[in-house]
Amino acid sequence: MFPSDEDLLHQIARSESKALATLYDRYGRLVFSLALRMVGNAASAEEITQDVFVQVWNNAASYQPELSKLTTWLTSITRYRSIDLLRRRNVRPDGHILEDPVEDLVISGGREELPEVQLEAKTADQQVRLALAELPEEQRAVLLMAYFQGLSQPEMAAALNEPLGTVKTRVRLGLQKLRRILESNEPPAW
Amino acid sequence: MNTHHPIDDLPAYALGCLEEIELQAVERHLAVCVDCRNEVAMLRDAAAQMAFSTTQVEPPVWLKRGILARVEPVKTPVNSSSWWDWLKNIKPAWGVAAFAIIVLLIVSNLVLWNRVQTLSQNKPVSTFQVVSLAGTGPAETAHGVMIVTDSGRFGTLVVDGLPELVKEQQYQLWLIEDGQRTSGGVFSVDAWGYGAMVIKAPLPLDTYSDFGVTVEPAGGSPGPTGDKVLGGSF
Repeated sequence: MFPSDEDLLHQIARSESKALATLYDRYGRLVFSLALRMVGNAASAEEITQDVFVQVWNNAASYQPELSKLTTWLTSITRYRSIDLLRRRNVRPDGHILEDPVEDLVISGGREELPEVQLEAKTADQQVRLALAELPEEQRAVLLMAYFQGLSQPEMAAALNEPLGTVKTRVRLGLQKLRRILESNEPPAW
Repeated sequence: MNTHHPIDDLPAYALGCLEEIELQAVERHLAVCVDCRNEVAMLRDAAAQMAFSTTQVEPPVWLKRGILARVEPVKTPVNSSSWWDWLKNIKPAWGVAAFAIIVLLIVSNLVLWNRVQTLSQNKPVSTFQVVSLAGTGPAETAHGVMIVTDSGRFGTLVVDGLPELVKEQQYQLWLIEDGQRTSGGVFSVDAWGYGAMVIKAPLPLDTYSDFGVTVEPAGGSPGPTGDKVLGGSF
């Protein structure tokens, strides 16, 4: 019934702006939310969201679905734009960058409640939060710092006051484990 | 050919947190190794899922229009100097005629304004009933509103943010009372997700308690068959 992501990208590549409008309806909130979390400022997040969809418009023909999911492509563009903005400003946003996405799942009763919560998890965000919650806290922390703050491994080592080798191990094990958990779950319904 | 696979560095590469020297070494290897490229693609997909853990925030409504305005062809702006040239070259006789027309338009506007003022002072107070419709399922960011006359005999539906459908499909409004669904008409939306229609109902609209919008084949269905995208109640 609704056109697939791939169909939309083909239409966008033919300069059909209606397809871009539909793509925005589908993913505009995801892009805006990610940008907002990374830069911590609504005006900048709006600017980044506009840039992301204009870049999709300009580069839809070069998108290769066999290489990455559309959400991976969209979120990658969003991250690069956000990190670029942060580096140009030479600032890191405070507050909500450090928020832990699994906090609201574990804060009330600890991780032992997770299997029950898992049964009820239906949405993509819940599934990802649950997957992150299964990681050891140290591994989750470096993944979030790298992904949302754009920190390099030496920067994380300095921020955490940990040896660089330790941070590298946490990054490697953390992402490999996250991948295994997500692959064992149902694909998010996006 | 480089046969050492930098497996340990691939997760950090996928996350974009390698230092420059390590990054260059990995990229040199990826250029010649399909297996590692595939591994990176899967790690990137996993990393990208973290974006979904972010609290979802609705972007401002105007942002979509701003994006579309940036990508749609720009209309050629009116050249102000050409208007000025035209005015400068106008012949005196035409200038007098144009001035007379302008005066006539101002006078007629004033007369009309007076009539509107008089009518609005004598008009009985009328109220409308409003029903809000919230997006559901595949269109959870959409919303709509039904404006119904006080008598319930007439109503208009306005929606925004619904995905544009293929030409073989339309949205259909359902009027619900005691579980019975009656069609209130079919409509389509434009590229911006905006659409409107006059509601057609066999009974006064305030007879119905609930309202829903579903995706149906073009022209509508006898009963709902597709996904529900909007819903609301009196």
